[in-house]
Amino acid sequence: MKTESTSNPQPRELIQAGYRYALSLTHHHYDAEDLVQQAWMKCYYRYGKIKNRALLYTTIRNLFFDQCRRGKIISFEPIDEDPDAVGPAPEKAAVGISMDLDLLLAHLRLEEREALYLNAVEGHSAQEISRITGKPRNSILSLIHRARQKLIRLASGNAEQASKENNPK
Amino acid sequence: MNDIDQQLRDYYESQRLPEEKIDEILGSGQTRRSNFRRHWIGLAAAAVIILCLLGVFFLRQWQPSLEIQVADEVLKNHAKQLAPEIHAAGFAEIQAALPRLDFPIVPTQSDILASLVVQGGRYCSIQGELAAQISLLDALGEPCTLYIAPLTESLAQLRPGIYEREKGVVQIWHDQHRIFAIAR
Repeated sequence: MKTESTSNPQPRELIQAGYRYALSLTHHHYDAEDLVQQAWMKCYYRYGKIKNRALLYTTIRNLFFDQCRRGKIISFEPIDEDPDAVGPAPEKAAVGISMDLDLLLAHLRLEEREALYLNAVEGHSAQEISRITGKPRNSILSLIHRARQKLIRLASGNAEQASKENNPK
Repeated sequence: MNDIDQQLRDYYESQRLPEEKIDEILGSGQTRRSNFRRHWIGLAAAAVIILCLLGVFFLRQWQPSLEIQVADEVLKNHAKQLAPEIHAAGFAEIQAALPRLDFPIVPTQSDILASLVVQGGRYCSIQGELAAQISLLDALGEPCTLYIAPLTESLAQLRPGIYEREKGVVQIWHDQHRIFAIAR
């Protein structure tokens, strides 16, 4: 796990990290921008100084779900496909992952994207993510696993489609 | 799997807010904070002023009137029954013996003091003002104490009247720019 939350990162770094986390939730640049700005102002307004990521992330998360409830942010949930029905096996598809991640991530459910971000990018363990999100550890493990599988399969599918387009019979 | 994670890291690392946007966020946070502080300082100041006004109001409600304060002071002094420093049978004699008194102590309204016999006098003070304390005896031989003080600014508000208190009765009257108070 990374240790930024215990150190004292610069405000600029903190805002950038908050923005990335917000992006993992919204998967929309402007929404993420607004979210991190609102969260920053809220923290600053309340505490005067934002010392760690945990506080900012929690505020971002709470604001995001609050705004979702109020309908300000519309979270587009993709149809949760049967993992087995999407493309070939992950082992074979790993080579094709270099497709546009931005598009691929849009196919993940919000919970999957968040869990995957916290695990793969921030380096949090399933236990820590469980604490952050309030979901059981096993659910987190499942979310991370399914998110990875989906990404690999989607990427593999796209790669095959691109290959077919490049080499039509 | 590591490949996906690495690509995810690279993807998210490449997502950065422009510096101008960060400046805007940092600026807006500070502005709002200072507005918040100013707002609370204003509220705190208003609360202090209201509390002070309430305090003054309740203090004035609770504080006894000047007449009651003087009556209580006079009765307290009267209860001590201090022996006069000067033994004399008249006001003029006492006046002569107490040279620090820069005002005449001889009363012009004699009806209240008609049946009283002067025993003597001494210096005293009423509400911090130098005054004369005259010991008297009434027709029944009961001791009374008369206090005479100039009508200074602080005592000018004293309203003449009879004030009955737990320890006795005090009668206050004005006589030619002087305050007379007799305790029985």
